[in-house]
Amino acid sequence: MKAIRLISFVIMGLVLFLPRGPVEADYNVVDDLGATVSIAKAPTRIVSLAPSNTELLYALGLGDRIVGVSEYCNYPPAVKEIAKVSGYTTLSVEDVVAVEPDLVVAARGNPLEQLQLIRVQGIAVFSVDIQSIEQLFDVSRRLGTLTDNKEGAEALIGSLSARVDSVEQRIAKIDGRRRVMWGYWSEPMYTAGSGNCIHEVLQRGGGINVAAESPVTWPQIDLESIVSWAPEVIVTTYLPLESTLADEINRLKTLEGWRVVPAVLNGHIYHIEADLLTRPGPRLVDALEEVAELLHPIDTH
Amino acid sequence: MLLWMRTTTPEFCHKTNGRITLTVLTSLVIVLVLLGVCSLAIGSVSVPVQDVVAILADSWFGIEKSMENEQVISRAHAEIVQHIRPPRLLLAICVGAALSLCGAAMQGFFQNPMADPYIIGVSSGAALGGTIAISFAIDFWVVGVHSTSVFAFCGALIVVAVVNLVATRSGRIPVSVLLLTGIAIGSMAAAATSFLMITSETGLHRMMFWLMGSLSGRRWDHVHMMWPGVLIGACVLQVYARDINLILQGDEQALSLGVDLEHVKRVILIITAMLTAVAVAVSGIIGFVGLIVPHLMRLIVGPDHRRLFPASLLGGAIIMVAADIVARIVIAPAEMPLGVITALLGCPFFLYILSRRT
Repeated sequence: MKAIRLISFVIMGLVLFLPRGPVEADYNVVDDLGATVSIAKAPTRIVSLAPSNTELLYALGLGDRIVGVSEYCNYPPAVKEIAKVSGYTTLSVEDVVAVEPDLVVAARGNPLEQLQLIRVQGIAVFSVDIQSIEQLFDVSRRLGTLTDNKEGAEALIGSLSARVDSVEQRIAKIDGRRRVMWGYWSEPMYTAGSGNCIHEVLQRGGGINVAAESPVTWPQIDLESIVSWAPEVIVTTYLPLESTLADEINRLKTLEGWRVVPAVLNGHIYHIEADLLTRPGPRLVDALEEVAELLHPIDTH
Repeated sequence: MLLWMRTTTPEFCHKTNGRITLTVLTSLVIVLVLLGVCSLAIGSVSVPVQDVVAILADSWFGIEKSMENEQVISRAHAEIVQHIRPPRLLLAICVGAALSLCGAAMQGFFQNPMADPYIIGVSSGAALGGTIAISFAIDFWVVGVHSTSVFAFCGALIVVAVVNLVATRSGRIPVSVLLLTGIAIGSMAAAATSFLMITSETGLHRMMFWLMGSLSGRRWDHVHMMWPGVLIGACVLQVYARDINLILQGDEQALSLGVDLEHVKRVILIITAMLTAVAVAVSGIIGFVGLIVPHLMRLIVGPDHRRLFPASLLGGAIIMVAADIVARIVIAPAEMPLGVITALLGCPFFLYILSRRT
């Protein structure tokens, strides 16, 4: 008994006198919520809480360090092998902690209370809120620093910005932008105002976002507004399951209001995979190339 | 309140004479027409009033006066004034009329001032149906009507049918049992709805929006689906108005006066269930109109259902058209859910009227 007591005292003492307080941080960056994220050594077990983050981490060459992702993460295909630890707006702290991460990369939309609980466990949380391609590069740089992978970050930024530049140089030579709207046609209808990635892709891809003047980033809109905006092109990321785009266009041609919208009349409604355009990750550049090609096809110029 | 509803049945209250009722109904019609004109002229896109008049004159009466304005009045404005706003207006009228009418009938039927069209589970059933459609991404169109509406309609009718089956006791429907069964099964459906909402992250917003009610994006198809029902329902209820008056004096008295109680009950249940189900399927769940408007109208024209029904019909239409105008302009081009407006503005107004009255 005595021996056990002695040992437990020693252990308690050790625990009490273990170095506490701020650890000397080698990797030290500010995240998109303004919080300083410090990590003593480069993280080797990363959890990503959003598909855009997962794609970015893979593009940065950190795929083999990811130990947990959200259930919506589906790209690249290798992600299927990784444990699913969260939804998007729902997040189980237990599931995240269970995979023993040393870095959690969160995204706008993840519940802040749960993120705080994870932080309290001593796990670094880096929150990401990307609303433009420039911010994508910026976040890449900071993630590169945090994960001791600056070369990977610079390589990614270099290749992505080269592709963006090539699109923009081509678009710059073209006169006449086309009035374009991102949206869909089931209630309630939303579109992209300015200050978000979709707006940026539409504008940089050679269009004029008809909803750019909206006072909010993701305005809810009514049919009247769409009719009066008269977009020439509609880019959609939504398709009803039991229908094709051609069927939908034909249906819209018969509907009050929609039938006078130029994009409907001329059949200029295009579908882009939602995962490309709506995820603020590296594949935004794929979306940009697609939109530019839709708005101003290469062969005619 | 119950005492007030009962002791003031027509036999005791002959002071509301026909001329006053006629005046009230006429003024309600005038208010409705004026609001209707406003509703056509107001929206997120501002169309000049003279253009609205020119477009409408052109389309209704074929007046060629607007020809010189052809270039000025864009095709977009013409489409908005002719085909986007009018179906909305007519639907607001139909939905408001249906809900208030059913509310009046239900309050009479249950002899309970708390009754509204949703009391026997119509709204919970519709909510569950609509939520199922959204959460399982069921997406198709039946003659221009979206699957969410179809599911809501079916859900409403299924729940009402179940409530009726459970509440029927050897061929009769005791009112108190029906009321409690409606509340119980309604709560169960509401729980199922909450479960679906929580488990479907992506559809949550659409569900919320749908549940709170809106007339956004509704078209002529919806109007055609709705108006015959409202017309038939209103006529049938009008025919049974006198029987409902007698029911309010108590079952025994009604029976002794020769009312076929079970028959009347069944007719009222079927009519209100169908009408409310259509209204909810088209517009989502708009609360308080069905509760408040009948009470308001009872304060004005008295408790005689022969007057109360037409007055409620008009009153409900007016409130709904007004609410829809507000819904369109407060946060344009976004739309406020109608249920929010009817509750937020309707309730204080109702409380004010109530406090002045007693």
